[in-house]
Amino acid sequence: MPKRRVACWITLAACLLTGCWDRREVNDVAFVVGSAADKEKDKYRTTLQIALPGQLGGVGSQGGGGGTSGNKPWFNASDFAETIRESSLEQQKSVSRFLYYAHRRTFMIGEGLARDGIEPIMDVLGRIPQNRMTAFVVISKGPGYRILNADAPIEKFPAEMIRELAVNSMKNPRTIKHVVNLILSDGIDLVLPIVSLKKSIPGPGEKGGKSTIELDGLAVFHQDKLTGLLSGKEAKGVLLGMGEATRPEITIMAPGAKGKITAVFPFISVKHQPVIQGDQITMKIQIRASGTIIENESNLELGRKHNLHNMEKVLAQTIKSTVESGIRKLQRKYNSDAIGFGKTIYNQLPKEWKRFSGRWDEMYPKVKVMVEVHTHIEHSGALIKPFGRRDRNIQK
Amino acid sequence: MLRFFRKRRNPKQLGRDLRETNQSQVNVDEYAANVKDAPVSSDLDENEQRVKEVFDHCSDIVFRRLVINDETEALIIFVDGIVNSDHINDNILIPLLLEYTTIPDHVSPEALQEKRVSLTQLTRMTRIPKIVDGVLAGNVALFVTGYEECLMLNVIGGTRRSVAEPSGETVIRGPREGFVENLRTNTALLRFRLKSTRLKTKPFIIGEETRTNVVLAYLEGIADPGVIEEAEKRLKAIKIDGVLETGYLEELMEEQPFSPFPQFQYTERPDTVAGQLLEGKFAIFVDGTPFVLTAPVTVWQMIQATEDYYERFLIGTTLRWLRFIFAAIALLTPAMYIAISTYHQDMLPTTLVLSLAASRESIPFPAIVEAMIMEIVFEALREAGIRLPRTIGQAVSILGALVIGQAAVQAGIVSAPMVIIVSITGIASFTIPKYNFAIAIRVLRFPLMFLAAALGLFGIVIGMVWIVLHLCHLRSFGVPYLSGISPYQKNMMKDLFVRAPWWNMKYRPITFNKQNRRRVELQAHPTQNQQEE
Repeated sequence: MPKRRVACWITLAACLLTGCWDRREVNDVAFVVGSAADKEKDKYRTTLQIALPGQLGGVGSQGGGGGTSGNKPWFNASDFAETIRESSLEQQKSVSRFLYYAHRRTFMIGEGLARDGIEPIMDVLGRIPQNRMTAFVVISKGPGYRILNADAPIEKFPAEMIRELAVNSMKNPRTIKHVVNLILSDGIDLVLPIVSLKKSIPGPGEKGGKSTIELDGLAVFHQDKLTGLLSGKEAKGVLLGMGEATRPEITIMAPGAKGKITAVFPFISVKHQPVIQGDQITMKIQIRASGTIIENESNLELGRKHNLHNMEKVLAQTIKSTVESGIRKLQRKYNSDAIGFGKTIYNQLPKEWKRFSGRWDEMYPKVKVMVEVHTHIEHSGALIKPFGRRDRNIQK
Repeated sequence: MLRFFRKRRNPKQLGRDLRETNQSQVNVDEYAANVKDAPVSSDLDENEQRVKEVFDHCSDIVFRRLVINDETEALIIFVDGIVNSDHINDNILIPLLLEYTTIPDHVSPEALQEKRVSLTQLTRMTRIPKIVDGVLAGNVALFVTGYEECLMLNVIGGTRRSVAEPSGETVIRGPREGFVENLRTNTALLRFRLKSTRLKTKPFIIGEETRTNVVLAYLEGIADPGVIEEAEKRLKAIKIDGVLETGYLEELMEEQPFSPFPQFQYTERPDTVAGQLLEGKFAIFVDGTPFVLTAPVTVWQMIQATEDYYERFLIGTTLRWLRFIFAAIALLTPAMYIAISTYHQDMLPTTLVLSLAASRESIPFPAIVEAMIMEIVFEALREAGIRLPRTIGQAVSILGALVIGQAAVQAGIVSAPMVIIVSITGIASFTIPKYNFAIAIRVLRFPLMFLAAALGLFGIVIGMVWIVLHLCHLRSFGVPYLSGISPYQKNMMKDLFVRAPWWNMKYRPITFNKQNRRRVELQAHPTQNQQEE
């Protein structure tokens, strides 16, 4: 029995003494909430946004240093080195707490770095288990660290604002996981949202206004390299064509009346269907959109069936031209198969794909695109007639 | 560590105990004969002398000389206070002193029993030690000149607490009677509920000085005879100077004394005991305590409350689940908090981990120290609240909650989340209906906290594996502690995680009951009958 007891104690001691080696209290950790990677000549510059819980003004932090005296609750550490990881280590030298990446939910890639290719930097994001594969990836217009320095008064951290914007950018926001997946897939190229700085209108007694962050179109890739930035109508068109647009709003001239009408389409289904005759590829894109009117600036009465019908037609036409303009840009200018025509062929006609896969880059710009749009307005909101217009001014 | 718990009696040991038991019965007589074994003498003075020697310096013993029918001298001896003095007056003294019926021959004890004493329970005894025993148990000893025997008149009485609502196990719905300190009242409370000839109540006397009456109650033909035999064996094997509470017997009879988990259930409620007997378990009553032991037990019944069976089954099941969840919370929350906040910060939502970090910013201690401070203070508060009179107790808890909760956070000694964790844990541990099981859970929380502090979630898993292994290993009178799940019994599933409606619990739980299995008629529910027709 004494032997047994000794064995017990040794086991217990071994258990307890070998523990604790990686013990890290919450307040010994520097939470990286967002980061940006840029390229400066041959070196990488990484910028880490570190949350400062002491400045967050949480309950029970009265004793904490500083309190909430208007200081920003984050701190940006920035340094450059030969590799991404090395530059992080450079920062660790100047950060007294252990840099902890598990709460990094946005990863921003600078435009310059993206143009040089993002293949080399993906490895570090996957190799350490601490890194979240579900961090959203965005491209910054200009160097990334500037955007991390924005005031972003709406959210606690600029990184948080970037995250919220990224979530709204697409139906399936692109995370590190998706990005790697898309780089590795044949017949489809990467599209990422762009964020840029924006100045707000200065309030009374304020100088220069506050800087915030805005979603500013789409960054289009060919393989792992950024080839172009789309914005406005073209960006919307590409998203619509991909079926990734979140609640797109379409504004049209009211048919047969004066003024404009805006409709929103929460329900959109997009079907891609390749038709192949010899070497001629035709891609049919069928878009079915149903939505509601959210603004009627015109004098058109929407209660009339023919008015509604005409309007639906014009909406369909507008969506069609938007999509076509986006795809034209992709095909002609950036040679980026963002919608994944190649992948559609691979999925639906795998035998045909074998013929094209080797020379897809040449084939892609020649693909004929046929867009077919059906729109359906389910209702015109809470109003039928234009609100606040005299009857005699209303176009029936 | 597991071995530490494994110390239990082996069967051989029990056998030896049994053999000693027979000797111990001899010992009982020897004890009584401390006084010297002697027969009752025909000389009254000699008898009085002998008994007085035994009861030397016992001021509560009353010796009363009297004369029956003007001719025969007699002596009564009893312990003042434990006998019913009304009975003595009305049924012994008045008939003996005032009545003058002719008694043929002489005034013999036999004649007195037949003609004079108007009591139902009386015996005749001839040995002094037995008589001493009887007197101590609340009998009146009546010696008559010239006869070598003594009449023992049973007039047990004395003031005892009356039946009241059990304060430890209150219910919203259900009987409000609770056991009292009087054994006879307690068995009567049970008999009120089980008017069955199957209900057997076997008497034992345990405790060489206390001579405590103990009763083993069970339903013959429903309880497992093997278990009953084992219980009798263990009861007989007990040799101790005194039994003041059922807890003594619990410790002397349980299989694994080092386990934190109770291997008996105790209750103050007669309806609970009746319910347990109907499932095929047995109960042990001890004179002088309102707590009755029942066994064998399983871990599941520790989380079940009496009311589960009285409320409609949907409600019973819901409440049972609530308790299961809160039992887990009571056991695991502090450990989880420590593990997550010291090792697994990645497991929390970012906003939560940041506000956690914010509230911990000024805390000087690591999470485990913080948790220990709060948990110990909480346990102390609870303990203080129990020991104090009820009115002050509440004040203490409120004061403690305010002072400890608010001030400690403001002073930066503990963080606000820790206060929340400790309060949730406290509330959760109060939802467990069986106090002895709740204590086990509360105690096991601490090793889990240390394991979490040393090894994180991995440590919690190790701890839980330990606990589950131990539970698998644990037995109460040969019945596996986890029976129902391990070994799996389909029949018992109706009363573990859910409480099946009464018309559906057709058989008694198989682990306790091997014979006479049916509990409810097949077509117990009106709708079932209609379907038949």
